[in-house]
Amino acid sequence: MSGEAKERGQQRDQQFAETAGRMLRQSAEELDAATLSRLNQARQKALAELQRPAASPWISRWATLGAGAAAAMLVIALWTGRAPVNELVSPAIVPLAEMTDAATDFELLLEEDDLEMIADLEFFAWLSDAELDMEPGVTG
Amino acid sequence: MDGRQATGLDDERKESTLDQSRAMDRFLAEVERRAFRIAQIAVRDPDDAMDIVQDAMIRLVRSYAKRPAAEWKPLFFRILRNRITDHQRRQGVSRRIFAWFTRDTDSDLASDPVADAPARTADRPDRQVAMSDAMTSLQAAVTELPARQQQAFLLRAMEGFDVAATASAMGCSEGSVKTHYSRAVRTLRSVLGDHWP
Repeated sequence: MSGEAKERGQQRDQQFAETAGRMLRQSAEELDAATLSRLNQARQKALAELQRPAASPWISRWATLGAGAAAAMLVIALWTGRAPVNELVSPAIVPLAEMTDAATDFELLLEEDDLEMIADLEFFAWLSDAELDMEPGVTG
Repeated sequence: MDGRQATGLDDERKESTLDQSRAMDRFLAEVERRAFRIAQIAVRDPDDAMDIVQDAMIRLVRSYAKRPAAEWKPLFFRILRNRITDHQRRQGVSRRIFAWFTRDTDSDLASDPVADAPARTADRPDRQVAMSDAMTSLQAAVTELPARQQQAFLLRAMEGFDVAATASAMGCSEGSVKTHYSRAVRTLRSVLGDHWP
């Protein structure tokens, strides 16, 4: 008897859920034109994401590693009080003014525009080689 | 020869992106209305609901467009559910902050005006008239359900998800889904009465 009552209750629950679900779906189909238009715009905006070129994971990984290494080098250089480039030129202690210049240079490097210059590193290397090749001709 | 091969690969890639875009367009067009209704019932504001649906669409496209199309539906509704929950949490925090600032300054604002504010749909008599009485009372009852019960009920009854898909979209066990769903149905039946609809 209680089993039958339970079964009847479950059937009623199921009927109720089916009716409610149908009404809710119907209400979704009867949205006004303004809402449908906004939904269409939202969809188009989402689909535009497919056209956006994704950055290669390798490039972004190398860029992150490169930036991290550069930052670490700068911190070490500033912390020890020596600018690494100047150290190669002369073993003398670098004056404070030059250290400040190095910090300023790094700030400039961090600016967005200078990232393009880093990307053109190959070009600058080529330019440097070309200048070295030309030197004897110019002097001689 | 290499140039031709490269052009061929480019064409294939463009074609593939176009196919993917068409498939995604069809999928989103198929679910967007019900997703909007689910969000609207959950957050009680059509503008917020629209923002949530748009955000869910963008996140799906950005992160999962390359996954098989069969996976899009549970993923999309999971993202939607997360966005709704985020929104409700933010609303809860702003309500508490508002209540804290106004607690001692004005006794007339003892009740929470944000919580008490009627849903914007209630300000639109044309929409209310369009909605049948049965639908109006159903929506009001579903809106009052606790969040998890509401999600389980809408995903199962409205979206037609089975227990496993609902559990995946809700990020909980199948047992929890069964419990939330049966409690939701029981509450709704008791609120709406035996003669509904």
